[in-house]
Amino acid sequence: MSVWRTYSSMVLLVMIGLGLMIPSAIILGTIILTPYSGRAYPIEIGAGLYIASALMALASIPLINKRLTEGYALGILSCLLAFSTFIILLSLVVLGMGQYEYYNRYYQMVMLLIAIGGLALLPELIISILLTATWGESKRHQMAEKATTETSH
Amino acid sequence: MGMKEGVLFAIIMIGSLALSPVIADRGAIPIDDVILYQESQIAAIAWKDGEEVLILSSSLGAPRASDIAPYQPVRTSHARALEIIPLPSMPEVEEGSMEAFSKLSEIARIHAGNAIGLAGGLLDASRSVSIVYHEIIGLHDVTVVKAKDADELISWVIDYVRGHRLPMPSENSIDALESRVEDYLDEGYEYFVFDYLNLGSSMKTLEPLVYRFRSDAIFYPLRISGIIESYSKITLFLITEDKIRPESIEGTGFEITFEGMVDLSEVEGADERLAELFEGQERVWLTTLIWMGDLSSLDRDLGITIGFSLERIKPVLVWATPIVAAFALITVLYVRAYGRGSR
Repeated sequence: MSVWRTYSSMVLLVMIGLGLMIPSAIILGTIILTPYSGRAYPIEIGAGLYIASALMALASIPLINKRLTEGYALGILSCLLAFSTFIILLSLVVLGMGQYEYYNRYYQMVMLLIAIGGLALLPELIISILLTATWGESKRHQMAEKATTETSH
Repeated sequence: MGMKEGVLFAIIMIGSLALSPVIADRGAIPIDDVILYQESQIAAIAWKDGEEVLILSSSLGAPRASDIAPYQPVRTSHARALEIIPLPSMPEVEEGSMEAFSKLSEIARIHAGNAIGLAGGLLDASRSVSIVYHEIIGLHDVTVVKAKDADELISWVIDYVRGHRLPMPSENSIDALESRVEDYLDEGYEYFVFDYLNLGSSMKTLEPLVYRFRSDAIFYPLRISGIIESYSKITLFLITEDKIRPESIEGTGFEITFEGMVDLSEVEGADERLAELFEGQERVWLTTLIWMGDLSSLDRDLGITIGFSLERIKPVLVWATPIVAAFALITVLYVRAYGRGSR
Protein backbone atom coordinates (compact mmCIF):
# COMPACT_ATOMS: atom_id res chain seq x y z
CA MET A 1 0.00 0.00 0.00
CA SER A 2 2.81 2.39 0.92
CA VAL A 3 4.59 1.69 -2.38
CA TRP A 4 1.41 2.44 -4.34
CA ARG A 5 0.98 5.71 -2.46
CA THR A 6 4.62 6.67 -2.97
CA TYR A 7 4.62 6.05 -6.72
CA SER A 8 1.23 7.75 -7.19
CA SER A 9 2.45 10.83 -5.36
CA MET A 10 5.66 10.83 -7.44
CA VAL A 11 3.68 10.69 -10.70
CA LEU A 12 1.36 13.44 -9.52
CA LEU A 13 4.34 15.55 -8.44
CA VAL A 14 5.84 15.23 -11.93
CA MET A 15 2.48 16.24 -13.38
CA ILE A 16 2.03 19.38 -11.28
CA GLY A 17 5.74 20.14 -11.57
CA LEU A 18 5.63 20.23 -15.36
CA GLY A 19 2.07 21.56 -15.43
CA LEU A 20 3.01 24.58 -13.37
CA MET A 21 6.52 25.04 -14.72
CA ILE A 22 5.94 25.14 -18.50
CA PRO A 23 3.07 27.67 -18.80
CA SER A 24 4.46 29.83 -15.99
CA ALA A 25 7.88 29.94 -17.64
CA ILE A 26 6.30 30.90 -20.98
CA ILE A 27 4.23 33.67 -19.34
CA LEU A 28 7.22 34.93 -17.36
CA GLY A 29 9.38 34.89 -20.49
CA THR A 30 6.77 36.89 -22.38
CA ILE A 31 6.58 39.46 -19.59
CA ILE A 32 10.36 39.76 -19.37
CA LEU A 33 10.59 40.36 -23.12
CA THR A 34 7.91 43.07 -22.97
CA PRO A 35 9.66 46.50 -23.37
CA TYR A 36 8.31 47.82 -20.09
CA SER A 37 6.86 45.24 -17.79
CA GLY A 38 7.07 47.26 -14.57
CA ARG A 39 3.30 47.14 -14.09
CA ALA A 40 2.93 43.38 -14.33
CA TYR A 41 3.96 42.58 -10.77
CA PRO A 42 1.02 40.25 -10.02
CA ILE A 43 1.89 38.15 -13.03
CA GLU A 44 5.59 38.18 -12.24
CA ILE A 45 5.10 37.15 -8.64
CA GLY A 46 2.43 34.58 -9.59
CA ALA A 47 4.56 32.97 -12.28
CA GLY A 48 7.65 33.15 -10.07
CA LEU A 49 5.89 31.37 -7.21
CA TYR A 50 4.44 28.71 -9.49
CA ILE A 51 7.90 28.05 -10.93
CA ALA A 52 9.33 27.85 -7.40
CA SER A 53 6.57 25.43 -6.47
CA ALA A 54 7.21 23.33 -9.58
CA LEU A 55 10.94 23.20 -8.84
CA MET A 56 10.23 21.99 -5.32
CA ALA A 57 7.79 19.36 -6.58
CA LEU A 58 10.27 18.00 -9.11
CA ALA A 59 13.17 18.16 -6.66
CA SER A 60 11.21 16.21 -4.07
CA ILE A 61 10.81 13.13 -6.29
CA PRO A 62 14.32 11.64 -5.85
CA LEU A 63 14.07 12.19 -2.08
CA ILE A 64 10.61 10.59 -1.87
CA ASN A 65 11.90 7.68 -3.92
CA LYS A 66 14.45 7.10 -1.17
CA ARG A 67 11.73 7.48 1.48
CA LEU A 68 13.57 10.48 2.98
CA THR A 69 11.68 12.81 5.32
CA GLU A 70 12.99 15.88 3.40
CA GLY A 71 11.29 14.55 0.27
CA TYR A 72 7.87 14.35 1.92
CA ALA A 73 8.36 17.82 3.41
CA LEU A 74 9.44 19.30 0.06
CA GLY A 75 6.52 17.67 -1.76
CA ILE A 76 3.94 18.92 0.73
CA LEU A 77 5.55 22.42 0.78
CA SER A 78 5.37 22.62 -3.02
CA CYS A 79 1.63 21.81 -2.89
CA LEU A 80 1.04 24.39 -0.16
CA LEU A 81 3.00 27.05 -2.11
CA ALA A 82 1.06 26.39 -5.33
CA PHE A 83 -2.23 26.50 -3.41
CA SER A 84 -1.23 29.77 -1.67
CA THR A 85 -0.22 31.32 -5.00
CA PHE A 86 -3.59 30.39 -6.48
CA ILE A 87 -5.34 32.05 -3.52
CA ILE A 88 -3.11 35.18 -3.81
CA LEU A 89 -3.84 35.59 -7.53
CA LEU A 90 -7.55 34.96 -7.01
CA SER A 91 -7.63 37.52 -4.20
CA LEU A 92 -5.88 40.14 -6.37
CA VAL A 93 -8.48 39.71 -9.10
CA VAL A 94 -11.41 39.70 -6.66
CA LEU A 95 -10.02 42.79 -4.92
CA GLY A 96 -10.20 44.65 -8.23
CA MET A 97 -6.73 44.35 -9.60
CA GLY A 98 -8.18 44.33 -13.12
CA GLN A 99 -9.76 47.74 -12.77
CA TYR A 100 -6.45 49.46 -13.45
CA GLU A 101 -5.72 50.17 -17.07
CA TYR A 102 -2.19 48.85 -16.99
CA TYR A 103 -3.36 45.52 -15.76
CA ASN A 104 -5.84 45.06 -18.57
CA ARG A 105 -3.11 44.20 -21.04
CA TYR A 106 -2.07 41.36 -18.82
CA TYR A 107 -5.50 40.34 -17.59
CA GLN A 108 -5.59 37.22 -19.77
CA MET A 109 -2.23 36.14 -18.41
CA VAL A 110 -3.46 36.50 -14.82
CA MET A 111 -6.58 34.50 -15.66
CA LEU A 112 -4.44 31.81 -17.29
CA LEU A 113 -2.28 31.59 -14.16
CA ILE A 114 -5.41 31.26 -12.04
CA ALA A 115 -6.73 28.53 -14.33
CA ILE A 116 -3.45 26.64 -14.09
CA GLY A 117 -3.49 26.94 -10.30
CA GLY A 118 -7.14 25.84 -10.21
CA LEU A 119 -6.44 22.73 -12.29
CA ALA A 120 -3.60 21.82 -9.98
CA LEU A 121 -5.75 22.02 -6.85
CA LEU A 122 -7.03 18.45 -6.94
CA PRO A 123 -3.63 16.85 -7.62
CA GLU A 124 -2.17 19.04 -4.84
CA LEU A 125 -4.80 17.78 -2.41
CA ILE A 126 -4.25 14.15 -3.40
CA ILE A 127 -0.45 14.51 -3.22
CA SER A 128 -0.68 16.12 0.23
CA ILE A 129 -2.88 13.31 1.53
CA LEU A 130 -0.73 10.57 -0.02
CA LEU A 131 2.53 12.07 1.19
CA THR A 132 1.22 12.75 4.69
CA ALA A 133 -0.08 9.18 4.95
CA THR A 134 3.12 7.70 3.58
CA TRP A 135 5.25 9.92 5.80
CA GLY A 136 3.19 8.94 8.84
CA GLU A 137 3.39 5.28 7.95
CA SER A 138 7.12 5.59 7.39
CA LYS A 139 7.53 7.19 10.81
CA ARG A 140 5.49 4.48 12.50
CA HIS A 141 7.53 1.85 10.66
CA GLN A 142 10.80 3.47 11.77
CA MET A 143 9.60 3.67 15.37
CA ALA A 144 8.49 0.04 15.30
CA GLU A 145 11.88 -0.97 13.89
CA LYS A 146 13.65 1.04 16.58
CA ALA A 147 11.52 -0.59 19.28
CA THR A 148 12.21 -4.06 17.86
CA THR A 149 15.93 -3.35 17.76
CA GLU A 150 15.96 -2.08 21.38
CA THR A 151 13.95 -5.13 22.52
CA SER A 152 16.31 -7.57 20.83
CA HIS A 153 19.28 -5.92 22.56
CA MET B 1 -25.66 75.61 -37.57
CA GLY B 2 -24.31 76.56 -40.97
CA MET B 3 -21.73 75.04 -43.25
CA LYS B 4 -18.26 75.85 -42.02
CA GLU B 5 -15.95 76.47 -44.93
CA GLY B 6 -12.51 77.90 -45.31
CA VAL B 7 -11.59 77.07 -41.78
CA LEU B 8 -8.95 79.36 -40.34
CA PHE B 9 -6.95 78.16 -37.41
CA ALA B 10 -4.81 80.40 -35.32
CA ILE B 11 -2.35 78.49 -33.26
CA ILE B 12 -0.89 80.10 -30.25
CA MET B 13 2.03 78.51 -28.62
CA ILE B 14 3.03 79.66 -25.21
CA GLY B 15 6.42 79.09 -23.78
CA SER B 16 7.78 80.14 -20.48
CA LEU B 17 11.21 80.33 -18.93
CA ALA B 18 11.77 78.20 -15.91
CA LEU B 19 14.31 75.98 -14.28
CA SER B 20 12.32 72.87 -14.93
CA PRO B 21 12.27 71.34 -18.36
CA VAL B 22 9.39 71.83 -20.70
CA ILE B 23 8.32 70.93 -24.16
CA ALA B 24 5.05 71.82 -25.67
CA ASP B 25 2.01 69.90 -26.36
CA ARG B 26 -0.58 71.94 -28.24
CA GLY B 27 -3.66 73.33 -26.61
CA ALA B 28 -6.19 75.36 -28.55
CA ILE B 29 -9.22 77.55 -27.99
CA PRO B 30 -11.83 78.03 -30.69
CA ILE B 31 -12.35 81.61 -31.86
CA ASP B 32 -15.54 80.89 -33.72
CA ASP B 33 -18.53 79.13 -32.27
CA VAL B 34 -17.25 75.68 -33.16
CA ILE B 35 -16.16 72.56 -31.36
CA LEU B 36 -12.47 71.91 -31.82
CA TYR B 37 -11.10 68.46 -31.86
CA GLN B 38 -7.58 67.20 -32.04
CA GLU B 39 -7.19 63.84 -33.65
CA SER B 40 -3.58 63.33 -32.72
CA GLN B 41 -0.27 64.85 -31.70
CA ILE B 42 3.09 63.49 -32.70
CA ALA B 43 6.47 64.65 -31.49
CA ALA B 44 10.12 63.66 -31.71
CA ILE B 45 12.25 64.81 -28.81
CA ALA B 46 16.04 64.68 -28.53
CA TRP B 47 17.48 65.66 -25.17
CA LYS B 48 21.02 65.81 -23.83
CA ASP B 49 22.64 67.79 -21.04
CA GLY B 50 19.75 70.19 -20.63
CA GLU B 51 19.26 70.92 -24.29
CA GLU B 52 16.11 69.77 -26.00
CA VAL B 53 15.11 69.59 -29.66
CA LEU B 54 11.39 69.11 -30.19
CA ILE B 55 9.72 68.43 -33.49
CA LEU B 56 5.98 68.71 -32.95
CA SER B 57 2.95 68.33 -35.14
CA SER B 58 -0.76 67.87 -34.54
CA SER B 59 -3.92 67.06 -36.46
CA LEU B 60 -6.44 69.73 -35.56
CA GLY B 61 -9.90 70.41 -36.94
CA ALA B 62 -13.45 71.48 -36.33
CA PRO B 63 -16.38 69.35 -37.41
CA ARG B 64 -18.34 70.81 -40.27
CA ALA B 65 -21.78 71.99 -39.26
CA SER B 66 -23.29 69.48 -41.66
CA ASP B 67 -21.63 66.72 -39.67
CA ILE B 68 -23.32 67.90 -36.49
CA ALA B 69 -26.73 69.11 -37.70
CA PRO B 70 -27.19 68.04 -41.32
CA TYR B 71 -30.76 69.33 -41.54
CA GLN B 72 -30.03 72.80 -40.24
CA PRO B 73 -29.87 75.69 -42.67
CA VAL B 74 -26.41 76.20 -44.07
CA ARG B 75 -24.55 79.23 -42.73
CA THR B 76 -21.16 79.89 -44.23
CA SER B 77 -18.53 80.91 -41.74
CA HIS B 78 -15.02 80.13 -40.62
CA ALA B 79 -13.74 77.91 -37.85
CA ARG B 80 -10.74 79.52 -36.30
CA ALA B 81 -8.74 78.67 -33.25
CA LEU B 82 -5.85 79.75 -31.12
CA GLU B 83 -3.38 76.98 -30.34
CA ILE B 84 -1.01 77.17 -27.40
CA ILE B 85 2.26 75.56 -26.38
CA PRO B 86 4.20 76.33 -23.20
CA LEU B 87 8.00 76.02 -23.24
CA PRO B 88 10.46 76.38 -20.38
CA SER B 89 12.90 78.73 -22.04
CA MET B 90 13.23 81.02 -25.04
CA PRO B 91 13.08 78.69 -28.01
CA GLU B 92 14.63 78.78 -31.43
CA VAL B 93 11.92 77.87 -33.94
CA GLU B 94 12.46 76.27 -37.31
CA GLU B 95 10.42 74.42 -39.85
CA GLY B 96 10.30 70.68 -39.51
CA SER B 97 9.21 67.80 -41.65
CA MET B 98 6.67 65.04 -41.19
CA GLU B 99 9.24 62.72 -42.73
CA ALA B 100 11.10 62.61 -39.41
CA PHE B 101 8.18 60.84 -37.74
CA SER B 102 7.74 58.21 -40.43
CA LYS B 103 11.48 57.50 -40.39
CA LEU B 104 11.60 57.22 -36.59
CA SER B 105 8.56 55.00 -36.67
CA GLU B 106 10.27 52.84 -39.27
CA ILE B 107 13.47 52.68 -37.16
CA ALA B 108 11.42 51.57 -34.15
CA ARG B 109 9.52 49.07 -36.29
CA ILE B 110 12.72 47.57 -37.66
CA HIS B 111 14.36 47.37 -34.24
CA ALA B 112 11.30 46.17 -32.41
CA GLY B 113 10.06 43.84 -35.07
CA ASN B 114 6.59 45.24 -34.61
CA ALA B 115 4.87 48.25 -36.18
CA ILE B 116 3.97 51.29 -34.08
CA GLY B 117 0.78 52.93 -35.13
CA LEU B 118 1.47 56.06 -35.39
CA ALA B 119 6.73 79.94 -32.58
CA GLY B 120 9.74 90.49 -33.71
CA GLY B 121 11.35 92.27 -31.56
CA LEU B 122 8.61 94.79 -30.58
CA LEU B 123 8.60 95.70 -26.94
CA ASP B 124 5.62 97.24 -25.20
CA ALA B 125 7.12 98.57 -21.97
CA SER B 126 3.74 99.61 -20.63
CA ARG B 127 2.63 96.00 -20.31
CA SER B 128 4.08 92.91 -18.76
CA VAL B 129 3.83 91.18 -22.12
CA SER B 130 6.52 91.69 -24.73
CA ILE B 131 7.04 90.18 -28.16
CA VAL B 132 10.50 88.70 -28.31
CA TYR B 133 10.32 86.89 -31.62
CA HIS B 134 8.14 86.89 -34.72
CA GLU B 135 8.55 84.98 -37.94
CA ILE B 136 6.45 83.36 -40.65
CA ILE B 137 7.52 79.77 -41.21
CA GLY B 138 5.49 78.14 -43.95
CA LEU B 139 1.86 78.09 -42.83
CA HIS B 140 2.91 79.11 -39.35
CA ASP B 141 2.90 82.75 -38.24
CA VAL B 142 4.99 82.39 -35.12
CA THR B 143 5.16 84.97 -32.34
CA VAL B 144 7.04 84.41 -29.08
CA VAL B 145 6.01 86.65 -26.22
CA LYS B 146 7.33 87.05 -22.69
CA ALA B 147 4.68 87.50 -20.04
CA LYS B 148 4.51 87.80 -16.26
CA ASP B 149 0.82 88.29 -15.67
CA ALA B 150 -2.06 86.13 -16.87
CA ASP B 151 -4.50 89.03 -17.23
CA GLU B 152 -1.98 90.96 -19.29
CA LEU B 153 -1.33 87.95 -21.47
CA ILE B 154 -5.03 87.35 -22.04
CA SER B 155 -5.41 91.03 -22.91
CA TRP B 156 -2.55 90.59 -25.36
CA VAL B 157 -4.27 87.56 -26.88
CA ILE B 158 -7.50 89.54 -27.28
CA ASP B 159 -5.57 92.37 -28.93
CA TYR B 160 -3.84 89.82 -31.12
CA VAL B 161 -7.15 88.38 -32.23
CA ARG B 162 -8.54 91.87 -32.88
CA GLY B 163 -5.36 92.78 -34.75
CA HIS B 164 -5.94 89.86 -37.06
CA ARG B 165 -9.60 90.93 -37.51
CA LEU B 166 -10.83 87.69 -35.99
CA PRO B 167 -13.99 87.25 -33.94
CA MET B 168 -13.52 87.02 -30.17
CA PRO B 169 -13.16 83.49 -28.74
CA SER B 170 -15.93 82.44 -26.39
CA GLU B 171 -15.72 83.42 -22.71
CA ASN B 172 -15.42 79.78 -21.73
CA SER B 173 -12.41 79.35 -23.96
CA ILE B 174 -10.78 82.52 -22.64
CA ASP B 175 -11.44 81.41 -19.04
CA ALA B 176 -9.98 77.96 -19.71
CA LEU B 177 -6.91 79.48 -21.30
CA GLU B 178 -6.46 82.01 -18.46
CA SER B 179 -6.66 79.26 -15.88
CA ARG B 180 -3.95 77.21 -17.56
CA VAL B 181 -1.77 80.25 -18.25
CA GLU B 182 -2.01 81.28 -14.57
CA ASP B 183 -0.77 77.85 -13.57
CA TYR B 184 2.19 78.07 -15.91
CA LEU B 185 3.05 81.62 -14.81
CA ASP B 186 2.83 80.58 -11.14
CA GLU B 187 5.37 77.89 -11.90
CA GLY B 188 7.75 80.39 -13.46
CA TYR B 189 7.05 79.96 -17.14
CA GLU B 190 7.33 83.36 -18.84
CA TYR B 191 7.74 82.69 -22.54
CA PHE B 192 4.66 82.12 -24.68
CA VAL B 193 4.63 81.27 -28.34
CA PHE B 194 1.67 82.04 -30.62
CA ASP B 195 1.29 80.28 -33.92
CA TYR B 196 -1.40 81.59 -36.28
CA LEU B 197 -2.43 79.16 -38.98
CA ASN B 198 -4.71 79.40 -41.96
CA LEU B 199 -6.17 75.98 -42.67
CA GLY B 200 -8.91 74.44 -44.75
CA SER B 201 -12.20 73.09 -43.52
CA SER B 202 -11.03 69.51 -43.12
CA MET B 203 -8.81 67.87 -40.55
CA LYS B 204 -5.19 68.76 -41.27
CA THR B 205 -1.96 67.40 -40.00
CA LEU B 206 0.18 70.47 -39.55
CA GLU B 207 3.74 70.52 -40.79
CA PRO B 208 5.83 70.33 -37.66
CA LEU B 209 7.86 73.10 -36.12
CA VAL B 210 11.23 72.47 -34.54
CA TYR B 211 11.86 74.06 -31.15
CA ARG B 212 15.28 74.16 -29.53
CA PHE B 213 15.48 75.30 -25.93
CA ARG B 214 17.15 74.66 -22.57
CA SER B 215 15.51 72.26 -20.22
CA ASP B 216 16.65 70.34 -17.16
CA ALA B 217 14.75 67.28 -18.29
CA ILE B 218 12.69 66.09 -21.18
CA PHE B 219 9.52 68.15 -20.91
CA TYR B 220 6.29 67.87 -22.80
CA PRO B 221 3.54 70.24 -21.59
CA LEU B 222 0.29 68.39 -21.53
CA ARG B 223 -1.90 70.59 -19.30
CA ILE B 224 -2.27 73.21 -22.02
CA SER B 225 -3.94 70.58 -24.19
CA GLY B 226 -6.59 70.24 -21.52
CA ILE B 227 -8.42 73.26 -22.89
CA ILE B 228 -9.53 71.10 -25.81
CA GLU B 229 -12.23 68.60 -25.07
CA SER B 230 -11.36 65.92 -27.56
CA TYR B 231 -10.32 62.29 -27.64
CA SER B 232 -6.80 62.24 -28.98
CA LYS B 233 -3.66 60.21 -29.41
CA ILE B 234 -0.20 61.51 -28.55
CA THR B 235 2.88 59.78 -29.92
CA LEU B 236 6.31 60.76 -28.66
CA PHE B 237 9.65 59.60 -30.03
CA LEU B 238 12.34 60.24 -27.44
CA ILE B 239 16.01 60.18 -28.44
CA THR B 240 18.28 60.10 -25.43
CA GLU B 241 21.75 58.92 -24.47
CA ASP B 242 20.37 56.64 -21.76
CA LYS B 243 17.15 54.82 -20.94
CA ILE B 244 14.34 56.96 -19.61
CA ARG B 245 13.40 56.43 -15.95
CA PRO B 246 9.99 54.69 -15.86
CA GLU B 247 8.97 56.49 -12.65
CA SER B 248 9.15 59.82 -14.51
CA ILE B 249 6.13 58.81 -16.61
CA GLU B 250 4.35 57.21 -13.65
CA GLY B 251 0.69 58.16 -13.56
CA THR B 252 0.76 60.11 -16.83
CA GLY B 253 -1.01 57.44 -18.81
CA PHE B 254 1.81 57.20 -21.33
CA GLU B 255 2.85 53.75 -22.28
CA ILE B 256 6.23 52.66 -23.59
CA THR B 257 5.70 50.75 -26.79
CA PHE B 258 9.31 50.60 -27.93
CA GLU B 259 12.63 51.04 -26.25
CA GLY B 260 15.94 50.16 -27.81
CA MET B 261 19.36 51.31 -28.97
CA VAL B 262 19.57 52.55 -32.54
CA ASP B 263 22.43 53.87 -34.67
CA LEU B 264 22.81 57.66 -34.51
CA SER B 265 23.03 57.61 -38.32
CA GLU B 266 19.48 56.28 -38.42
CA VAL B 267 18.25 59.19 -36.29
CA GLU B 268 20.28 61.56 -38.49
CA GLY B 269 18.40 60.14 -41.45
CA ALA B 270 15.10 61.06 -39.81
CA ASP B 271 16.16 64.63 -38.94
CA GLU B 272 19.76 65.69 -38.47
CA ARG B 273 18.73 68.27 -35.82
CA LEU B 274 17.71 65.41 -33.58
CA ALA B 275 21.13 63.85 -33.94
CA GLU B 276 23.17 67.04 -33.47
CA LEU B 277 23.03 66.75 -29.69
CA PHE B 278 24.72 63.38 -29.74
CA GLU B 279 27.80 64.17 -31.81
CA GLY B 280 30.53 61.63 -31.15
CA GLN B 281 28.16 58.89 -30.10
CA GLU B 282 27.48 55.92 -32.31
CA ARG B 283 24.28 54.65 -30.73
CA VAL B 284 21.42 56.33 -28.87
CA TRP B 285 18.25 55.18 -27.12
CA LEU B 286 14.99 55.50 -29.00
CA THR B 287 11.85 55.27 -26.86
CA THR B 288 8.33 55.46 -28.19
CA LEU B 289 5.57 56.64 -25.86
CA ILE B 290 1.89 56.56 -26.68
CA TRP B 291 -1.04 58.17 -24.85
CA MET B 292 -4.69 57.91 -25.78
CA GLY B 293 -7.58 59.59 -24.04
CA ASP B 294 -9.58 62.73 -23.47
CA LEU B 295 -7.30 65.78 -23.69
CA SER B 296 -9.34 67.55 -21.01
CA SER B 297 -8.18 64.90 -18.55
CA LEU B 298 -4.55 66.05 -18.89
CA ASP B 299 -3.66 67.84 -15.67
CA ARG B 300 0.12 67.68 -15.53
CA ASP B 301 3.09 68.07 -17.85
CA LEU B 302 5.66 65.47 -18.72
CA GLY B 303 9.05 65.87 -17.14
CA ILE B 304 11.03 62.82 -18.11
CA THR B 305 14.44 62.05 -16.71
CA ILE B 306 16.99 59.51 -17.86
CA GLY B 307 19.42 57.22 -16.10
CA PHE B 308 19.48 54.37 -13.63
CA SER B 309 16.17 53.36 -12.14
CA LEU B 310 15.26 50.89 -9.42
CA GLU B 311 11.95 50.43 -11.23
CA ARG B 312 13.78 48.40 -13.84
CA ILE B 313 15.19 46.03 -11.23
CA LYS B 314 11.98 45.56 -9.23
CA PRO B 315 10.27 43.23 -11.74
CA VAL B 316 13.34 41.00 -11.82
CA LEU B 317 13.44 40.89 -8.01
CA VAL B 318 9.74 40.08 -7.89
CA TRP B 319 9.93 36.99 -10.07
CA ALA B 320 13.44 35.88 -9.20
CA THR B 321 13.07 35.98 -5.39
CA PRO B 322 10.72 32.97 -5.01
CA ILE B 323 12.71 30.95 -7.52
CA VAL B 324 16.02 31.68 -5.76
CA ALA B 325 14.38 30.92 -2.39
CA ALA B 326 13.12 27.60 -3.76
CA PHE B 327 16.59 26.70 -5.01
CA ALA B 328 18.04 27.57 -1.59
CA LEU B 329 15.47 25.42 0.22
CA ILE B 330 16.02 22.50 -2.13
CA THR B 331 19.79 22.78 -1.65
CA VAL B 332 19.46 22.84 2.16
CA LEU B 333 17.14 19.81 2.18
CA TYR B 334 19.35 17.85 -0.21
CA VAL B 335 22.46 18.63 1.82
CA ARG B 336 20.62 17.60 4.97
CA ALA B 337 19.18 14.41 3.46
CA TYR B 338 22.33 13.19 1.75
CA GLY B 339 24.58 14.47 4.53
CA ARG B 340 22.68 12.32 7.01
CA GLY B 341 22.73 9.42 4.58
CA SER B 342 26.54 9.54 4.24
CA ARG B 343 27.12 9.48 8.00
